[in-house]
Amino acid sequence: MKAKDNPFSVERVLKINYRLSDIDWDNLIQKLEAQQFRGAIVGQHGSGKTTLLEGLAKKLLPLNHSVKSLRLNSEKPNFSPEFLDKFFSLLNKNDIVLLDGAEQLNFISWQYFKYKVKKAKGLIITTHKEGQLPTIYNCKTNYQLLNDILFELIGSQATNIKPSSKELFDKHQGNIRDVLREYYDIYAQFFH
Amino acid sequence: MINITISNPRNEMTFFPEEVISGEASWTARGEHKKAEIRLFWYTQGKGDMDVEIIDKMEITYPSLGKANFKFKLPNAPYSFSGKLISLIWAIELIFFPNKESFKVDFTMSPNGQEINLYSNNHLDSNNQLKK
Repeated sequence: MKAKDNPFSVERVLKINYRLSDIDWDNLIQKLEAQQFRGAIVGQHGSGKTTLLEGLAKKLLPLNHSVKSLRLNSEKPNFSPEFLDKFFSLLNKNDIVLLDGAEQLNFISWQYFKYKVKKAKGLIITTHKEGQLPTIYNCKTNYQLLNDILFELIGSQATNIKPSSKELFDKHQGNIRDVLREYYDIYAQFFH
Repeated sequence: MINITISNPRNEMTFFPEEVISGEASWTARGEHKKAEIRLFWYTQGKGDMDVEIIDKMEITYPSLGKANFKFKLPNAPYSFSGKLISLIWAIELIFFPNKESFKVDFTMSPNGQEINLYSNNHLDSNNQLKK
Protein backbone atom coordinates (compact mmCIF):
# COMPACT_ATOMS: atom_id res chain seq x y z
CA MET A 1 0.00 0.00 0.00
CA LYS A 2 1.33 3.44 -0.94
CA ALA A 3 2.18 5.70 1.99
CA LYS A 4 -0.34 8.35 0.90
CA ASP A 5 -3.12 5.74 0.82
CA ASN A 6 -2.32 4.26 4.22
CA PRO A 7 -5.21 5.17 6.58
CA PHE A 8 -2.69 5.44 9.43
CA SER A 9 -0.47 8.00 7.73
CA VAL A 10 0.53 10.87 9.99
CA GLU A 11 -1.53 13.38 7.99
CA ARG A 12 -4.71 11.39 8.58
CA VAL A 13 -3.94 10.76 12.24
CA LEU A 14 -3.25 14.47 12.83
CA LYS A 15 -6.74 15.33 11.59
CA ILE A 16 -8.33 13.48 14.49
CA ASN A 17 -9.63 15.91 17.07
CA TYR A 18 -8.96 15.31 20.72
CA ARG A 19 -11.86 13.73 22.56
CA LEU A 20 -12.30 15.41 25.94
CA SER A 21 -13.85 13.41 28.73
CA ASP A 22 -15.63 14.77 31.83
CA ILE A 23 -15.43 18.32 30.45
CA ASP A 24 -16.26 20.17 27.26
CA TRP A 25 -14.20 22.77 25.40
CA ASP A 26 -16.11 25.75 26.78
CA ASN A 27 -15.62 24.62 30.36
CA LEU A 28 -11.97 23.81 29.73
CA ILE A 29 -11.36 27.33 28.46
CA GLN A 30 -13.28 28.79 31.40
CA LYS A 31 -11.06 26.74 33.71
CA LEU A 32 -8.02 28.15 31.95
CA GLU A 33 -9.32 31.70 32.25
CA ALA A 34 -9.80 31.17 35.98
CA GLN A 35 -6.12 30.17 36.16
CA GLN A 36 -4.99 33.20 34.13
CA PHE A 37 -4.29 30.86 31.20
CA ARG A 38 -1.52 29.10 33.06
CA GLY A 39 -1.61 25.36 33.35
CA ALA A 40 -0.36 21.98 32.25
CA ILE A 41 -1.78 19.20 30.13
CA VAL A 42 -0.37 16.07 31.70
CA GLY A 43 -0.16 12.56 30.27
CA GLN A 44 2.05 9.63 29.30
CA HIS A 45 3.66 9.15 25.90
CA GLY A 46 1.11 8.82 23.13
CA SER A 47 -1.88 9.90 25.23
CA GLY A 48 -2.86 12.83 23.01
CA LYS A 49 -1.30 15.80 24.79
CA THR A 50 -0.07 17.42 21.58
CA THR A 51 -3.41 16.79 19.90
CA LEU A 52 -5.22 18.42 22.81
CA LEU A 53 -2.85 21.40 22.82
CA GLU A 54 -3.38 21.90 19.09
CA GLY A 55 -7.13 21.66 19.58
CA LEU A 56 -6.91 24.26 22.31
CA ALA A 57 -5.01 26.62 19.99
CA LYS A 58 -7.80 26.31 17.42
CA LYS A 59 -10.37 27.19 20.10
CA LEU A 60 -8.39 30.15 21.46
CA LEU A 61 -7.75 31.85 18.11
CA PRO A 62 -11.40 32.65 17.26
CA LEU A 63 -11.75 34.14 20.76
CA ASN A 64 -9.18 36.76 19.70
CA HIS A 65 -6.37 35.33 21.77
CA SER A 66 -2.88 35.61 20.32
CA VAL A 67 -1.23 32.19 20.42
CA LYS A 68 2.50 31.49 20.17
CA SER A 69 3.34 27.80 19.82
CA LEU A 70 6.62 26.11 20.63
CA ARG A 71 7.57 22.46 20.54
CA LEU A 72 10.29 20.36 22.13
CA ASN A 73 10.83 16.63 21.86
CA SER A 74 13.53 14.05 22.39
CA GLU A 75 15.13 14.92 19.03
CA LYS A 76 15.06 18.63 19.76
CA PRO A 77 15.11 18.93 23.56
CA ASN A 78 16.01 22.62 23.86
CA PHE A 79 15.93 25.98 22.13
CA SER A 80 19.01 27.90 21.07
CA PRO A 81 19.76 31.02 23.13
CA GLU A 82 19.43 33.14 19.97
CA PHE A 83 15.99 31.76 19.25
CA LEU A 84 14.82 32.29 22.82
CA ASP A 85 16.15 35.86 22.93
CA LYS A 86 14.22 36.74 19.81
CA PHE A 87 11.11 34.89 20.97
CA PHE A 88 11.01 36.60 24.35
CA SER A 89 11.73 40.04 22.85
CA LEU A 90 8.69 39.72 20.58
CA LEU A 91 6.41 38.38 23.32
CA ASN A 92 3.77 40.77 24.61
CA LYS A 93 1.01 40.81 27.22
CA ASN A 94 -1.61 39.61 24.74
CA ASP A 95 0.20 36.39 23.86
CA ILE A 96 -0.61 32.96 25.22
CA VAL A 97 2.42 30.69 24.88
CA LEU A 98 1.76 27.02 24.15
CA LEU A 99 4.82 24.92 24.94
CA ASP A 100 4.60 21.30 23.86
CA GLY A 101 7.14 19.08 25.58
CA ALA A 102 8.00 21.15 28.65
CA GLU A 103 9.40 18.04 30.34
CA GLN A 104 12.41 18.29 27.99
CA LEU A 105 13.66 21.42 29.77
CA ASN A 106 15.95 20.89 32.73
CA PHE A 107 15.17 22.62 36.02
CA ILE A 108 17.13 25.80 35.33
CA SER A 109 15.95 26.14 31.74
CA TRP A 110 12.37 25.63 32.85
CA GLN A 111 12.63 28.26 35.62
CA TYR A 112 14.20 30.72 33.16
CA PHE A 113 11.53 30.06 30.56
CA LYS A 114 8.73 30.47 33.10
CA TYR A 115 10.26 33.75 34.32
CA LYS A 116 10.65 35.21 30.83
CA VAL A 117 7.08 34.27 29.89
CA LYS A 118 5.63 36.05 32.93
CA LYS A 119 4.91 39.14 30.85
CA ALA A 120 2.71 37.11 28.50
CA LYS A 121 -1.01 36.60 28.99
CA GLY A 122 -0.56 32.89 29.65
CA LEU A 123 1.52 29.74 29.43
CA ILE A 124 0.04 26.33 28.70
CA ILE A 125 2.35 23.36 28.55
CA THR A 126 2.27 19.66 27.90
CA THR A 127 4.31 17.48 30.17
CA HIS A 128 4.60 13.91 31.38
CA LYS A 129 4.40 14.61 35.08
CA GLU A 130 2.46 16.95 37.31
CA GLY A 131 4.19 19.77 39.14
CA GLN A 132 5.52 22.22 36.55
CA LEU A 133 2.26 24.16 36.44
CA PRO A 134 -1.24 23.49 37.86
CA THR A 135 -2.82 20.63 35.94
CA ILE A 136 -5.71 21.69 33.78
CA TYR A 137 -6.27 18.32 32.12
CA ASN A 138 -5.00 14.80 32.51
CA CYS A 139 -4.81 12.86 29.24
CA LYS A 140 -5.69 9.23 29.73
CA THR A 141 -6.11 6.44 27.22
CA ASN A 142 -8.36 3.42 27.22
CA TYR A 143 -9.65 0.72 24.85
CA GLN A 144 -12.75 2.71 23.95
CA LEU A 145 -10.73 5.75 22.97
CA LEU A 146 -8.51 3.63 20.72
CA ASN A 147 -11.55 1.96 19.15
CA ASP A 148 -13.16 5.34 18.49
CA ILE A 149 -9.99 6.52 16.75
CA LEU A 150 -9.77 3.33 14.70
CA PHE A 151 -13.38 3.73 13.59
CA GLU A 152 -12.65 7.26 12.51
CA LEU A 153 -9.64 6.11 10.48
CA ILE A 154 -10.84 2.83 8.95
CA GLY A 155 -14.57 2.64 9.65
CA SER A 156 -16.12 -0.78 10.12
CA GLN A 157 -12.78 -2.52 9.40
CA ALA A 158 -11.91 -1.58 12.99
CA THR A 159 -14.22 -4.34 14.24
CA ASN A 160 -12.18 -7.14 12.68
CA ILE A 161 -8.73 -5.65 12.59
CA LYS A 162 -5.86 -8.04 13.34
CA PRO A 163 -4.13 -7.91 15.70
CA SER A 164 -7.00 -6.64 17.79
CA SER A 165 -6.98 -3.14 19.23
CA LYS A 166 -6.98 -4.61 22.74
CA GLU A 167 -3.93 -6.70 21.96
CA LEU A 168 -1.94 -3.75 20.66
CA PHE A 169 -3.20 -1.39 23.37
CA ASP A 170 -1.88 -3.79 26.01
CA LYS A 171 1.34 -4.41 24.10
CA HIS A 172 2.09 -0.68 23.94
CA GLN A 173 0.81 -0.01 27.46
CA GLY A 174 -1.74 2.53 26.41
CA ASN A 175 0.53 4.49 24.07
CA ILE A 176 -1.98 5.11 21.28
CA ARG A 177 0.60 6.79 19.05
CA ASP A 178 2.68 3.60 19.00
CA VAL A 179 -0.42 1.48 18.38
CA LEU A 180 -1.29 3.59 15.35
CA ARG A 181 2.31 3.32 14.09
CA GLU A 182 2.15 -0.45 14.32
CA TYR A 183 -1.11 -0.48 12.40
CA TYR A 184 0.59 1.70 9.79
CA ASP A 185 3.27 -0.96 9.33
CA ILE A 186 0.68 -3.74 9.13
CA TYR A 187 -1.29 -1.93 6.46
CA ALA A 188 1.88 -1.01 4.56
CA GLN A 189 3.03 -4.61 4.55
CA PHE A 190 -0.14 -6.60 3.99
CA PHE A 191 -2.65 -4.37 2.24
CA HIS A 192 -2.57 -3.31 -1.41
CA MET B 1 -16.78 27.52 -0.04
CA ILE B 2 -13.30 27.36 -1.56
CA ASN B 3 -12.29 26.04 -4.96
CA ILE B 4 -9.02 25.81 -6.88
CA THR B 5 -9.04 25.09 -10.59
CA ILE B 6 -5.76 24.21 -12.26
CA SER B 7 -5.45 24.82 -15.99
CA ASN B 8 -3.72 22.19 -18.06
CA PRO B 9 -3.95 21.84 -21.86
CA ARG B 10 -3.51 18.10 -21.37
CA ASN B 11 -6.58 18.08 -19.07
CA GLU B 12 -4.66 16.15 -16.43
CA MET B 13 -3.37 16.82 -12.96
CA THR B 14 0.17 15.96 -14.04
CA PHE B 15 2.96 18.35 -14.87
CA PHE B 16 6.56 18.18 -16.03
CA PRO B 17 9.48 19.77 -14.17
CA GLU B 18 9.95 23.48 -14.98
CA GLU B 19 6.53 23.68 -16.55
CA VAL B 20 4.25 26.58 -15.63
CA ILE B 21 1.25 25.73 -13.47
CA SER B 22 -1.60 28.22 -13.48
CA GLY B 23 -5.22 28.46 -12.59
CA GLU B 24 -7.83 30.24 -10.54
CA ALA B 25 -8.79 30.16 -6.87
CA SER B 26 -12.26 31.25 -5.79
CA TRP B 27 -13.87 31.47 -2.37
CA THR B 28 -16.74 32.91 -0.43
CA ALA B 29 -15.31 36.06 1.14
CA ARG B 30 -15.76 36.43 4.89
CA GLY B 31 -14.96 39.28 7.25
CA GLU B 32 -12.45 37.30 9.29
CA HIS B 33 -10.24 36.81 6.22
CA LYS B 34 -7.69 39.60 6.66
CA LYS B 35 -5.10 38.20 4.30
CA ALA B 36 -4.67 35.22 2.00
CA GLU B 37 -1.95 33.43 0.10
CA ILE B 38 -1.81 30.94 -2.74
CA ARG B 39 1.11 28.60 -2.24
CA LEU B 40 2.98 26.11 -4.39
CA PHE B 41 4.52 23.44 -2.20
CA TRP B 42 5.30 19.79 -1.77
CA TYR B 43 4.66 17.72 1.30
CA THR B 44 5.32 14.22 2.49
CA GLN B 45 2.79 11.77 3.79
CA GLY B 46 3.41 8.47 5.49
CA LYS B 47 4.73 7.08 8.74
CA GLY B 48 7.02 9.87 9.88
CA ASP B 49 6.48 13.55 10.56
CA MET B 50 5.24 15.48 7.59
CA ASP B 51 7.87 17.50 5.72
CA VAL B 52 6.78 20.56 3.81
CA GLU B 53 8.59 22.94 1.51
CA ILE B 54 6.91 26.01 0.13
CA ILE B 55 8.44 26.68 -3.26
CA ASP B 56 6.59 29.86 -4.17
CA LYS B 57 3.65 31.90 -2.98
CA MET B 58 1.44 34.74 -4.03
CA GLU B 59 -0.14 37.13 -1.59
CA ILE B 60 -3.77 38.12 -2.05
CA THR B 61 -4.14 41.64 -0.75
CA TYR B 62 -7.93 41.80 -1.04
CA PRO B 63 -9.52 38.51 0.05
CA SER B 64 -12.89 40.25 -0.15
CA LEU B 65 -12.73 39.94 -3.95
CA GLY B 66 -13.33 36.21 -3.70
CA LYS B 67 -11.22 35.28 -6.71
CA ALA B 68 -7.60 35.28 -7.80
CA ASN B 69 -5.54 33.86 -10.66
CA PHE B 70 -2.17 32.28 -10.01
CA LYS B 71 0.83 31.23 -12.05
CA PHE B 72 3.96 29.50 -10.80
CA LYS B 73 6.97 27.96 -12.52
CA LEU B 74 7.65 24.48 -11.23
CA PRO B 75 11.21 23.63 -10.20
CA ASN B 76 13.10 20.68 -11.69
CA ALA B 77 12.74 18.55 -8.54
CA PRO B 78 11.73 16.76 -6.37
CA TYR B 79 9.51 14.38 -8.35
CA SER B 80 6.26 12.99 -6.99
CA PHE B 81 6.84 9.50 -5.62
CA SER B 82 5.27 6.88 -3.41
CA GLY B 83 6.69 4.03 -1.38
CA LYS B 84 5.41 2.12 1.62
CA LEU B 85 6.83 4.52 4.19
CA ILE B 86 6.60 7.85 2.44
CA SER B 87 4.92 9.66 -0.44
CA LEU B 88 5.93 13.05 -1.80
CA ILE B 89 3.02 15.04 -3.12
CA TRP B 90 2.86 18.40 -4.90
CA ALA B 91 0.01 20.80 -4.21
CA ILE B 92 -1.46 24.25 -4.70
CA GLU B 93 -2.99 25.66 -1.54
CA LEU B 94 -5.12 28.68 -0.70
CA ILE B 95 -4.75 29.75 2.92
CA PHE B 96 -6.42 32.55 4.86
CA PHE B 97 -5.10 34.48 7.85
CA PRO B 98 -5.36 34.76 10.76
CA ASN B 99 -7.48 31.64 11.21
CA LYS B 100 -5.38 29.55 8.72
CA GLU B 101 -8.43 28.09 7.02
CA SER B 102 -7.06 26.36 3.91
CA PHE B 103 -7.89 24.27 0.89
CA LYS B 104 -5.47 22.40 -1.37
CA VAL B 105 -5.40 20.52 -4.62
CA ASP B 106 -2.77 17.83 -5.21
CA PHE B 107 -1.03 17.21 -8.51
CA THR B 108 1.82 15.06 -9.86
CA MET B 109 5.15 16.37 -11.10
CA SER B 110 7.70 14.13 -12.81
CA PRO B 111 9.56 13.88 -16.14
CA ASN B 112 7.09 11.31 -17.47
CA GLY B 113 4.01 12.79 -15.82
CA GLN B 114 3.58 9.80 -13.54
CA GLU B 115 4.21 9.39 -9.87
CA ILE B 116 7.37 7.34 -9.32
CA ASN B 117 6.42 4.09 -7.66
CA LEU B 118 9.14 2.93 -5.32
CA TYR B 119 7.59 -0.53 -5.16
CA SER B 120 8.82 -1.42 -8.61
CA ASN B 121 11.29 -0.47 -11.28
CA ASN B 122 8.60 0.20 -13.87
CA HIS B 123 9.65 3.84 -13.94
CA LEU B 124 13.16 2.88 -15.17
CA ASP B 125 14.22 1.88 -18.68
CA SER B 126 16.78 -0.81 -19.57
CA ASN B 127 19.61 1.61 -18.79
CA ASN B 128 18.17 2.32 -15.35
CA GLN B 129 17.20 5.79 -16.46
CA LEU B 130 13.83 7.35 -15.81
CA LYS B 131 11.40 6.43 -18.59
CA LYS B 132 10.14 9.34 -20.66
